[in-house]
Amino acid sequence: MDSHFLTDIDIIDFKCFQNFSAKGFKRVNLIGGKNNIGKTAFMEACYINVFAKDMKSMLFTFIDIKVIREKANLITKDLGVGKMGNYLRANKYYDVKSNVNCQTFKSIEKDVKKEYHFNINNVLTNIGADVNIYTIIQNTELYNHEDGEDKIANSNTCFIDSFGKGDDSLIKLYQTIQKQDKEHELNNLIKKFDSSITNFKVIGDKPQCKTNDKYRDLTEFGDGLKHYISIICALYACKNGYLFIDEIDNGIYYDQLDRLWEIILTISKETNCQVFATTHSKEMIESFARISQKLNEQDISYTTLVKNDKNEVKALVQSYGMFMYSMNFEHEVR
Amino acid sequence: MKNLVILHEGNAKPTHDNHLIIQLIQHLNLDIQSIDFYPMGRKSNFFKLGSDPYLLLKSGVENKQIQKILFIIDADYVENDIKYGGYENTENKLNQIIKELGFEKISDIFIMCDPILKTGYLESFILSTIPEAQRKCIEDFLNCSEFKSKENHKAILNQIYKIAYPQSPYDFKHSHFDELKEKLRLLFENKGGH
Repeated sequence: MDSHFLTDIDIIDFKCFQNFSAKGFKRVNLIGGKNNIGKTAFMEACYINVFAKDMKSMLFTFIDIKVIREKANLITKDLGVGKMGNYLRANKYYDVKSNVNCQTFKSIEKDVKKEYHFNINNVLTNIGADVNIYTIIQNTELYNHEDGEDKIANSNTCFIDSFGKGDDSLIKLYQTIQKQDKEHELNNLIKKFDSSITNFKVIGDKPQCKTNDKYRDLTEFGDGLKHYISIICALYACKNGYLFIDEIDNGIYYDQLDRLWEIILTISKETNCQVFATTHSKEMIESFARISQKLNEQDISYTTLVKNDKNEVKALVQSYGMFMYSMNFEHEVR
Repeated sequence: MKNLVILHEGNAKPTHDNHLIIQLIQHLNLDIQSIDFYPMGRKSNFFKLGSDPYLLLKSGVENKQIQKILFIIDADYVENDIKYGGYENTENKLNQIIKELGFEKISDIFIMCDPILKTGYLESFILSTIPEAQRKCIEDFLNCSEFKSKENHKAILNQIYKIAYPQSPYDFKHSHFDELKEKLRLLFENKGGH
């Protein structure tokens, strides 16, 4: 187990989680559970935890997770500082401790103003009610969302939502593929996904695929292809880092699931990248078990989020052995 | 994860052990879909605290996903295994492991054996429910044969039983089934719905 991997996490207070504890995460981790149980919120908590090393990066992740959630409702380039302030206000508490980082954030109402208290690995920062948080945001690279996207793309931590990456982010991820001379590998994997695609390139500011001797915008193809390419590029971009994939099977046809897991298990090992992914799909869970077993890849876990009798969210984390036992004897694991 | 669990011997999903239990659950009109079966393989696996099935169960119990557990295990013979063989040893050792797992309040045990002799296994239990003449005939054959190992013995007994009673695999009306029926009814009683 690599030392940078997140193995244990306590979420004391964040969104739907209170006094939540989960232990036993490995290099590749699949998260299941019913609708609205908190799978995405769990990944957000982990994402903030591994990414936020100081106040600025914590502010960035708070806003970023909200931007991801609100993606369908906005055109990201129209983001203004006021809207970012609203997004920041969406997080009142974040109190998470893991083997990687310990962070606490509180926003406290004082008359009509707010105070913000940060404790990141025992470094305390308080922004008093007399300080305008918008000024802080403006004075960081957070103000310009494109810069923010740059920061994400240039870091080795990536969060892919269920829509896959947008063109700008995908281009940044693709640049890491180019820097690592992995274009040939990417093209081979794309051909396996769709044999009619003979090449992938960024032309101008558009990711494009060549089919029938003609390049077409990636957006003209199905969502599954964009999701698939985003995942492969991010696996290389997140070398020695972390990749979070929400609704991993979104848009992916069932006969591609085994290939996708084979790619994730193989490349994440090569790049030393820890992967967290969520799914609702029984086929996706079965495929994860089948390919882990086929590759004898035991550095994996499967977690089901459940609610207990007090309506608290809890995690059932299964190691490779426990997961294989459940799958072999057809226990309900979703 | 289902909130009722039955642990039984055997490795495959359809074992002779859980075949009988499934038939009996259906005979009692209980909801078979509420149960997760945990095959434990050999009897000795019931006594390994850190095994994968026990780790799964512990996680389910601690997070209130599993409400009740029924352990179904063979008694076997004390002369074959001085530590775990025989009814008393099996009961004592299993209660000890259930305590160590912290499952005392939600667990029950059924020990498969000849209920009169308190020895044997599932096949001895089934044999005890057939008419005296036929039972004696089968017992005599097994005693005279050279098939001494438990697995050979069980396989032959199963085969004879199938040939002798092809139409009615189990006589669930026999009083020897009463205790198991009661334990299954209790298992399903007041089951919640996670």
